[in-house]
Amino acid sequence: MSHAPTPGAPRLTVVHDRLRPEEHLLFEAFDARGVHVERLYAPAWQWQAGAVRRDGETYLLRTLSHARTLAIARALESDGATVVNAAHVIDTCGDKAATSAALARHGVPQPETAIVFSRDEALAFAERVGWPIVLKPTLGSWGRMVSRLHDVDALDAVLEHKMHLGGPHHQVFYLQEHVDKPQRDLRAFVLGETVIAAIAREGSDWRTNTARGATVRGTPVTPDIERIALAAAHAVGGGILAVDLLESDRGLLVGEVNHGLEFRNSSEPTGVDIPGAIADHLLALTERHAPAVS
Amino acid sequence: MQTVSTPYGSLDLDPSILELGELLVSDDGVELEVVSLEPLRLEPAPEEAEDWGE
Repeated sequence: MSHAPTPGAPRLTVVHDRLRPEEHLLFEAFDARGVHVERLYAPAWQWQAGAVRRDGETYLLRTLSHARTLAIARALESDGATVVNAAHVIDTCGDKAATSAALARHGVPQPETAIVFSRDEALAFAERVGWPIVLKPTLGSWGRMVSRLHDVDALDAVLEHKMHLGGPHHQVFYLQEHVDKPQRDLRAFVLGETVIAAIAREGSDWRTNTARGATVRGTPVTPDIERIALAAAHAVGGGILAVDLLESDRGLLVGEVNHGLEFRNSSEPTGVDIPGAIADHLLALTERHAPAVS
Repeated sequence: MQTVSTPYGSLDLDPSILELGELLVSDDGVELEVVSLEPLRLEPAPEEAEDWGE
Protein backbone atom coordinates (compact mmCIF):
# COMPACT_ATOMS: atom_id res chain seq x y z
CA MET A 1 0.00 0.00 0.00
CA SER A 2 1.40 3.38 -0.95
CA HIS A 3 0.60 6.73 0.56
CA ALA A 4 1.06 10.06 -1.11
CA PRO A 5 3.28 12.46 0.78
CA THR A 6 1.45 15.10 2.77
CA PRO A 7 2.40 18.55 1.47
CA GLY A 8 4.75 20.21 3.91
CA ALA A 9 5.27 17.00 5.92
CA PRO A 10 8.79 16.31 7.13
CA ARG A 11 10.62 14.12 4.70
CA LEU A 12 11.84 10.67 5.70
CA THR A 13 13.87 8.51 3.34
CA VAL A 14 15.01 4.90 3.68
CA VAL A 15 18.30 4.32 1.87
CA HIS A 16 18.80 0.70 0.86
CA ASP A 17 20.43 -1.61 -1.60
CA ARG A 18 19.44 -5.27 -1.48
CA LEU A 19 16.05 -5.60 0.19
CA ARG A 20 16.17 -7.94 3.17
CA PRO A 21 13.15 -8.98 5.23
CA GLU A 22 14.00 -6.11 7.62
CA GLU A 23 13.50 -3.45 4.94
CA HIS A 24 10.16 -4.98 3.88
CA LEU A 25 9.06 -5.07 7.54
CA LEU A 26 10.00 -1.41 7.96
CA PHE A 27 8.11 -0.39 4.81
CA GLU A 28 5.07 -2.31 6.11
CA ALA A 29 5.35 -0.54 9.47
CA PHE A 30 5.37 2.89 7.83
CA ASP A 31 2.47 1.88 5.59
CA ALA A 32 0.50 0.72 8.63
CA ARG A 33 0.97 4.19 10.13
CA GLY A 34 -0.17 5.85 6.92
CA VAL A 35 3.22 7.48 6.52
CA HIS A 36 4.88 8.05 3.19
CA VAL A 37 8.59 7.31 3.14
CA GLU A 38 10.84 7.87 0.18
CA ARG A 39 12.98 4.96 -0.93
CA LEU A 40 16.45 5.59 -2.22
CA TYR A 41 18.21 2.71 -3.97
CA ALA A 42 21.85 3.47 -3.28
CA PRO A 43 23.40 1.85 -6.39
CA ALA A 44 21.32 4.19 -8.58
CA TRP A 45 22.17 7.34 -6.61
CA GLN A 46 25.00 9.77 -6.72
CA TRP A 47 26.01 12.50 -4.32
CA GLN A 48 27.44 15.71 -5.69
CA ALA A 49 29.43 17.74 -3.23
CA GLY A 50 27.56 20.85 -2.16
CA ALA A 51 24.87 20.50 -4.85
CA VAL A 52 21.79 20.46 -2.57
CA ARG A 53 20.80 21.23 1.00
CA ARG A 54 18.84 18.60 2.95
CA ASP A 55 18.11 20.52 6.15
CA GLY A 56 15.12 19.09 7.98
CA GLU A 57 15.27 15.81 6.11
CA THR A 58 15.83 12.48 7.88
CA TYR A 59 17.48 9.42 6.34
CA LEU A 60 17.48 5.89 7.69
CA LEU A 61 20.42 3.96 6.27
CA ARG A 62 19.83 0.28 5.59
CA THR A 63 22.62 -0.50 3.13
CA LEU A 64 24.58 -3.70 3.63
CA SER A 65 28.18 -2.62 3.13
CA HIS A 66 29.91 -0.79 5.95
CA ALA A 67 32.04 1.26 3.55
CA ARG A 68 29.02 2.24 1.47
CA THR A 69 26.88 3.11 4.49
CA LEU A 70 29.58 5.28 6.02
CA ALA A 71 30.18 7.15 2.76
CA ILE A 72 26.45 7.83 2.35
CA ALA A 73 26.12 9.01 5.95
CA ARG A 74 28.99 11.45 5.60
CA ALA A 75 27.64 12.79 2.32
CA LEU A 76 24.10 13.31 3.59
CA GLU A 77 25.26 14.88 6.84
CA SER A 78 27.33 17.37 4.88
CA ASP A 79 24.11 18.39 3.12
CA GLY A 80 22.48 19.14 6.48
CA ALA A 81 20.37 15.98 6.81
CA THR A 82 19.74 14.02 9.98
CA VAL A 83 21.09 10.53 9.37
CA VAL A 84 20.27 7.43 11.39
CA ASN A 85 22.66 6.17 12.42
CA ALA A 86 25.02 9.11 12.38
CA ALA A 87 28.30 8.76 10.49
CA HIS A 88 30.43 8.77 13.62
CA VAL A 89 28.29 5.99 15.09
CA ILE A 90 28.62 3.88 11.94
CA ASP A 91 32.35 4.55 11.93
CA THR A 92 32.69 3.36 15.52
CA CYS A 93 30.36 0.35 15.35
CA GLY A 94 31.69 -0.86 11.99
CA ASP A 95 35.22 -1.23 13.32
CA LYS A 96 35.60 -3.55 16.29
CA ALA A 97 38.81 -1.83 17.38
CA ALA A 98 37.02 1.53 17.40
CA THR A 99 34.11 0.00 19.31
CA SER A 100 36.44 -1.41 21.95
CA ALA A 101 38.20 1.93 22.26
CA ALA A 102 34.88 3.73 22.73
CA LEU A 103 33.70 1.18 25.31
CA ALA A 104 37.01 1.46 27.19
CA ARG A 105 36.86 5.25 27.15
CA HIS A 106 33.43 5.12 28.80
CA GLY A 107 34.22 2.32 31.22
CA VAL A 108 31.77 -0.14 29.67
CA PRO A 109 32.65 -3.77 30.50
CA GLN A 110 33.93 -5.86 27.63
CA PRO A 111 36.01 -9.03 27.31
CA GLU A 112 39.77 -8.62 27.77
CA THR A 113 40.70 -7.12 24.41
CA ALA A 114 43.96 -6.23 22.69
CA ILE A 115 45.06 -4.85 19.36
CA VAL A 116 48.46 -6.14 18.28
CA PHE A 117 50.51 -6.07 15.11
CA SER A 118 52.85 -9.01 15.49
CA ARG A 119 52.85 -12.71 16.27
CA ASP A 120 54.95 -12.19 19.40
CA GLU A 121 52.52 -9.70 20.91
CA ALA A 122 49.57 -11.96 20.03
CA LEU A 123 51.32 -14.81 21.82
CA ALA A 124 52.03 -12.60 24.83
CA PHE A 125 48.32 -11.72 25.01
CA ALA A 126 47.31 -15.40 24.84
CA GLU A 127 49.76 -16.31 27.60
CA ARG A 128 48.38 -13.50 29.77
CA VAL A 129 44.63 -14.25 29.37
CA GLY A 130 44.96 -17.99 28.71
CA TRP A 131 44.02 -20.21 25.78
CA PRO A 132 41.82 -20.28 23.84
CA ILE A 133 41.76 -16.75 22.50
CA VAL A 134 39.46 -15.24 19.89
CA LEU A 135 40.77 -13.46 16.81
CA LYS A 136 38.29 -11.27 14.94
CA PRO A 137 38.61 -9.15 11.82
CA THR A 138 38.07 -5.52 12.73
CA LEU A 139 35.57 -5.21 9.86
CA GLY A 140 32.76 -7.62 9.16
CA SER A 141 29.80 -9.25 10.74
CA TRP A 142 27.72 -12.39 11.06
CA GLY A 143 30.65 -14.19 12.74
CA ARG A 144 32.60 -14.23 9.51
CA MET A 145 36.32 -15.06 9.89
CA VAL A 146 36.06 -15.09 13.67
CA SER A 147 38.49 -17.72 14.95
CA ARG A 148 38.84 -19.48 18.29
CA LEU A 149 42.49 -20.39 18.67
CA HIS A 150 43.44 -23.11 21.14
CA ASP A 151 47.22 -23.09 20.87
CA VAL A 152 50.25 -21.47 19.34
CA ASP A 153 50.09 -23.66 16.23
CA ALA A 154 46.60 -22.42 15.43
CA LEU A 155 47.62 -18.84 16.14
CA ASP A 156 50.63 -19.09 13.82
CA ALA A 157 48.58 -20.63 11.01
CA VAL A 158 45.85 -17.99 11.08
CA LEU A 159 48.24 -15.05 11.45
CA GLU A 160 50.36 -16.29 8.55
CA HIS A 161 47.29 -16.40 6.32
CA LYS A 162 46.21 -12.93 7.41
CA MET A 163 49.66 -11.43 6.91
CA HIS A 164 50.11 -12.85 3.42
CA LEU A 165 46.57 -12.89 2.02
CA GLY A 166 44.69 -10.14 3.80
CA GLY A 167 44.33 -6.43 3.01
CA PRO A 168 45.53 -3.63 5.29
CA HIS A 169 42.81 -4.05 7.90
CA HIS A 170 43.79 -7.72 8.31
CA GLN A 171 47.18 -6.55 9.56
CA VAL A 172 45.49 -5.23 12.70
CA PHE A 173 45.04 -8.25 14.96
CA TYR A 174 42.03 -7.78 17.20
CA LEU A 175 42.20 -10.31 20.03
CA GLN A 176 39.86 -11.15 22.86
CA GLU A 177 39.78 -13.56 25.72
CA HIS A 178 37.42 -16.46 25.11
CA VAL A 179 34.40 -15.92 27.35
CA ASP A 180 33.07 -19.26 28.49
CA LYS A 181 29.46 -18.30 27.93
CA PRO A 182 26.54 -20.72 28.38
CA GLN A 183 26.10 -21.61 24.65
CA ARG A 184 24.26 -18.37 24.11
CA ASP A 185 24.65 -14.64 24.01
CA LEU A 186 22.17 -11.86 24.60
CA ARG A 187 21.16 -9.03 22.32
CA ALA A 188 19.48 -5.83 23.43
CA PHE A 189 17.68 -3.59 20.95
CA VAL A 190 18.23 0.07 21.76
CA LEU A 191 16.27 2.95 20.30
CA GLY A 192 17.60 6.23 21.55
CA GLU A 193 17.44 6.07 25.34
CA THR A 194 15.26 2.97 25.53
CA VAL A 195 15.95 -0.75 25.46
CA ILE A 196 12.82 -2.01 23.73
CA ALA A 197 13.53 -5.76 23.78
CA ALA A 198 16.13 -8.41 24.37
CA ILE A 199 16.75 -11.86 22.95
CA ALA A 200 18.96 -14.82 23.74
CA ARG A 201 20.69 -16.45 20.79
CA GLU A 202 21.40 -20.12 21.39
CA GLY A 203 23.28 -22.55 19.22
CA SER A 204 25.73 -25.39 19.04
CA ASP A 205 28.33 -23.23 17.25
CA TRP A 206 30.42 -21.25 19.73
CA ARG A 207 29.67 -18.17 17.56
CA THR A 208 26.02 -17.69 18.44
CA ASN A 209 25.10 -15.62 15.40
CA THR A 210 21.69 -16.23 13.86
CA ALA A 211 23.51 -16.16 10.50
CA ARG A 212 25.21 -19.34 11.78
CA GLY A 213 22.01 -21.06 12.74
CA ALA A 214 21.53 -19.87 16.31
CA THR A 215 17.94 -19.89 17.46
CA VAL A 216 16.27 -16.93 19.11
CA ARG A 217 14.09 -16.65 22.15
CA GLY A 218 12.86 -13.61 24.00
CA THR A 219 14.40 -12.75 27.33
CA PRO A 220 13.37 -10.10 29.84
CA VAL A 221 15.13 -6.76 29.79
CA THR A 222 16.70 -7.01 33.22
CA PRO A 223 18.10 -3.94 34.99
CA ASP A 224 21.62 -5.22 34.19
CA ILE A 225 20.86 -5.66 30.48
CA GLU A 226 19.28 -2.22 30.36
CA ARG A 227 22.16 -0.54 32.17
CA ILE A 228 24.97 -2.12 30.15
CA ALA A 229 23.19 -1.84 26.80
CA LEU A 230 22.43 1.85 27.31
CA ALA A 231 25.99 2.50 28.46
CA ALA A 232 27.33 0.77 25.34
CA ALA A 233 24.94 2.67 23.08
CA HIS A 234 25.96 5.93 24.71
CA ALA A 235 29.65 5.06 24.33
CA VAL A 236 29.36 4.66 20.55
CA GLY A 237 27.22 7.75 20.08
CA GLY A 238 23.67 6.43 20.35
CA GLY A 239 20.97 5.74 17.79
CA ILE A 240 19.18 2.61 16.64
CA LEU A 241 21.48 -0.18 17.79
CA ALA A 242 21.74 -3.83 18.73
CA VAL A 243 24.09 -4.47 21.63
CA ASP A 244 25.47 -8.00 21.92
CA LEU A 245 26.16 -9.11 25.48
CA LEU A 246 28.11 -12.05 26.87
CA GLU A 247 27.30 -13.56 30.25
CA SER A 248 30.46 -14.10 32.27
CA ASP A 249 31.50 -14.62 35.87
CA ARG A 250 32.33 -10.89 35.86
CA GLY A 251 28.78 -10.01 34.83
CA LEU A 252 27.59 -8.87 31.42
CA LEU A 253 30.28 -7.94 28.89
CA VAL A 254 29.65 -6.11 25.63
CA GLY A 255 30.66 -8.20 22.63
CA GLU A 256 29.80 -5.72 19.92
CA VAL A 257 27.42 -2.95 18.99
CA ASN A 258 25.63 -3.24 15.65
CA HIS A 259 24.46 -0.19 13.72
CA GLY A 260 22.62 -2.01 10.92
CA LEU A 261 20.59 -4.34 13.05
CA GLU A 262 18.68 -7.31 11.76
CA PHE A 263 15.49 -8.18 13.58
CA ARG A 264 13.47 -10.47 11.29
CA ASN A 265 13.39 -13.26 13.87
CA SER A 266 13.10 -11.15 17.01
CA SER A 267 9.62 -9.62 17.10
CA GLU A 268 7.74 -12.87 17.57
CA PRO A 269 9.80 -14.29 20.46
CA THR A 270 9.92 -10.97 22.29
CA GLY A 271 6.33 -9.93 21.62
CA VAL A 272 7.68 -6.50 20.66
CA ASP A 273 6.88 -5.02 17.27
CA ILE A 274 10.47 -4.02 16.54
CA PRO A 275 9.95 -2.55 13.05
CA GLY A 276 6.94 -0.64 14.40
CA ALA A 277 9.00 0.72 17.27
CA ILE A 278 11.76 1.77 14.86
CA ALA A 279 9.18 3.50 12.65
CA ASP A 280 7.71 5.37 15.65
CA HIS A 281 11.17 6.36 16.85
CA LEU A 282 12.09 7.71 13.42
CA LEU A 283 8.83 9.59 13.03
CA ALA A 284 9.39 11.30 16.38
CA LEU A 285 12.95 12.14 15.33
CA THR A 286 11.76 13.47 11.98
CA GLU A 287 9.22 15.73 13.67
CA ARG A 288 11.89 17.05 16.02
CA HIS A 289 14.23 17.93 13.17
CA ALA A 290 11.61 19.36 10.82
CA PRO A 291 12.04 23.04 10.03
CA ALA A 292 9.75 25.35 12.01
CA VAL A 293 6.69 26.49 10.06
CA SER A 294 6.29 30.27 10.16
CA MET B 1 3.20 -12.01 -15.72
CA GLN B 2 5.95 -12.02 -18.25
CA THR B 3 8.88 -14.31 -18.86
CA VAL B 4 12.27 -12.66 -18.83
CA SER B 5 15.32 -14.44 -20.20
CA THR B 6 18.74 -13.68 -18.78
CA PRO B 7 22.16 -15.27 -19.26
CA TYR B 8 21.55 -16.84 -15.84
CA GLY B 9 18.21 -18.46 -16.62
CA SER B 10 14.61 -17.35 -17.09
CA LEU B 11 12.09 -15.87 -14.66
CA ASP B 12 8.37 -15.34 -14.63
CA LEU B 13 7.66 -11.97 -13.05
CA ASP B 14 5.20 -9.11 -12.84
CA PRO B 15 7.13 -5.91 -13.67
CA SER B 16 4.43 -3.73 -12.09
CA ILE B 17 5.23 -4.93 -8.57
CA LEU B 18 9.00 -5.20 -8.82
CA GLU B 19 11.14 -3.12 -6.46
CA LEU B 20 14.71 -1.97 -6.77
CA GLY B 21 16.95 -4.15 -4.64
CA GLU B 22 14.56 -7.11 -4.70
CA LEU B 23 16.08 -10.56 -5.01
CA LEU B 24 14.70 -13.03 -7.55
CA VAL B 25 15.74 -16.57 -8.36
CA SER B 26 15.99 -17.77 -11.95
CA ASP B 27 14.97 -21.24 -13.08
CA ASP B 28 18.71 -22.06 -13.08
CA GLY B 29 18.80 -21.29 -9.37
CA VAL B 30 20.78 -18.06 -9.70
CA GLU B 31 19.92 -15.18 -7.35
CA LEU B 32 19.41 -11.96 -9.29
CA GLU B 33 18.99 -8.46 -7.91
CA VAL B 34 16.69 -5.92 -9.57
CA VAL B 35 19.11 -3.06 -10.27
CA SER B 36 16.96 -1.07 -12.72
CA LEU B 37 13.22 -0.93 -13.39
CA GLU B 38 13.14 1.06 -16.62
CA PRO B 39 14.60 -0.62 -18.48
CA LEU B 40 14.36 -3.76 -16.38
CA ARG B 41 17.83 -4.99 -15.51
CA LEU B 42 18.75 -7.96 -13.33
CA GLU B 43 22.26 -8.71 -12.18
CA PRO B 44 23.69 -11.70 -10.30
CA ALA B 45 23.59 -10.95 -6.59
CA PRO B 46 26.76 -11.69 -4.65
CA GLU B 47 26.04 -13.91 -1.68
CA GLU B 48 28.15 -11.92 0.73
CA ALA B 49 30.94 -9.36 0.77
CA GLU B 50 33.63 -8.84 3.37
CA ASP B 51 32.20 -5.71 4.97
CA TRP B 52 28.53 -6.65 4.74
CA GLY B 53 26.60 -7.15 7.92
CA GLU B 54 24.89 -5.53 10.79
